[in-house]
Amino acid sequence: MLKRNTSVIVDYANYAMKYIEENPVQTIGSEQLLYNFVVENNIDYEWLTWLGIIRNDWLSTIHNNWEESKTILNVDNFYIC
Amino acid sequence: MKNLALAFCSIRPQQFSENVCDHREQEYLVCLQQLERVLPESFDLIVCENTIDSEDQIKNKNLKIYLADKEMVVLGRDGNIGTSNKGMGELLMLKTAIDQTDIDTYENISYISARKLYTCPYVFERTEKLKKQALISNPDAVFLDGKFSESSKDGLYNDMFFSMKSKTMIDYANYAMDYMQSNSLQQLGSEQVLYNFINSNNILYEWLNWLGIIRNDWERNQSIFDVSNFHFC
Repeated sequence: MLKRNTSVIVDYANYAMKYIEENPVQTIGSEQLLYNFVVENNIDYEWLTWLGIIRNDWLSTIHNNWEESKTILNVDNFYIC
Repeated sequence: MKNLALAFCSIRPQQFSENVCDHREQEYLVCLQQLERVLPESFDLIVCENTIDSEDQIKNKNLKIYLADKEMVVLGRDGNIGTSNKGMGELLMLKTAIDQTDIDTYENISYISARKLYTCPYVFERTEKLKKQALISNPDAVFLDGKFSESSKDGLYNDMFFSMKSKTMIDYANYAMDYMQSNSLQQLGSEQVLYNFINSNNILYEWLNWLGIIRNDWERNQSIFDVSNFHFC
């Protein structure tokens, strides 16, 4: 049976589940988990310098200053990456 | 061969208030810096301007410093023929830039209306791979508050961004100059001029469904930093 390209993401899903099951406190974030998976398993990758994504990060500022950031559509919270 | 990015700016148009022009300076600085971040190494950048006669007219110190070491084509305020039809001002800048540049050293030229945020290098990477004579688009717009706006599809192409092989861009600049000189009223917009050039000359082109550009269309409600005026296309 041919091994499909999607097998890498299946492996990643299994790697992540194993981490979650073995680490109930889960001290590392999902971004670190992705980094560790790629590096530990010598995954070949291509690189995106920019994503072309716009994100509205209104939630993070709420914790700092609700009164100023309670407007969900505040241009100061939008950024591209 | 290298590619060339021509970024067209009208920093302080005389028909706008001082306050608006001050904000335009800030916006051009942000947009030009972001353009450079996403521009691939194969591109040279030339900044073209048609509303200021000297750097002393720029108030924003950071913009002044930024532009000081940029290659520029400067027409001066007398070169701003686009006060009522701004696309025509850009076309005159295009012709001037072509006349002042060794165009033969470039394979492709990208036409960039510079007061836009380029979110990623996609359009420039498509330009690098361009096989046909032109790379054009006519995308719809999605505002950051969720509104969807369908663009007109009737006899025009978007000219916020497009690319052409160097020879084709030279032909287009000459075509646009001929139109302006023989039609003093200039009833067509620059987007229609582009459409007519492509179709009357059977220019073979590749198509961009989306540009990955954010535009602040503050003239919609005159509020300069209102999220409902920002849209991507």
